[in-house]
Amino acid sequence: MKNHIRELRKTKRISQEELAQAVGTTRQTITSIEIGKYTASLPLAYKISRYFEMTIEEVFDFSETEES
Amino acid sequence: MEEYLKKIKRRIFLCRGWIAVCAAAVIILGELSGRGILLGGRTRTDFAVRYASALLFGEIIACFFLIHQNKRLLQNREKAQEQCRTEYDELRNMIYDKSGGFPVSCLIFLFANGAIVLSFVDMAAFYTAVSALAAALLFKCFAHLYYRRKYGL
Repeated sequence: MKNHIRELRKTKRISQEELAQAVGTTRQTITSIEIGKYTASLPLAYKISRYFEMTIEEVFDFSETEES
Repeated sequence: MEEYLKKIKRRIFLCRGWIAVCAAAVIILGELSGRGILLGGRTRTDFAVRYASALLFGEIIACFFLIHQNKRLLQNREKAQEQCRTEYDELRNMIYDKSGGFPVSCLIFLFANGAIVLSFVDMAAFYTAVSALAAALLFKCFAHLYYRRKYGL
């Protein structure tokens, strides 16, 4: 699943480690989510979205999943 | 966080308890092994004797190491917080669950320690337990490595 975490992070000028600390996970998990190897659980996706003050749909791109 | 600190204290308590159990087992096995009490005259193979010593002393060393590590976490709140995040990380927990999780870890523990007891009863049962232990360990390691690669951890 595609997402806009990397772009949002760069806009906010925060590192993966800082985001990981803010949402209570590890830097490696954020990396895996960013590169699309791992799909975040609903609670984690919610925390990430809230951190960026956005909705889940704005951060995570569900269109690909719906098509397949 | 307070809940995690309590968990660390419980872990230290369990490790101390397990050191006591292992120390008692070392003494009991040392007493029994020379007399062949349970085997009725037959003796344990060299491999079984070395396996028991290695496992028990290994467990004692591992427990001391764990106690030392956890005590350091209790003294340093920042490190404890970081460790807490790592332990509750959903990707790590998912990989742990997919590679057998708690049931397979329990099986490994049971096979590893049960093999020592079995070596006093029947050598065939001992070798079966050791083979099952090796198979469970291999499964867990390969599954863990596979899922780590798959999810890019």
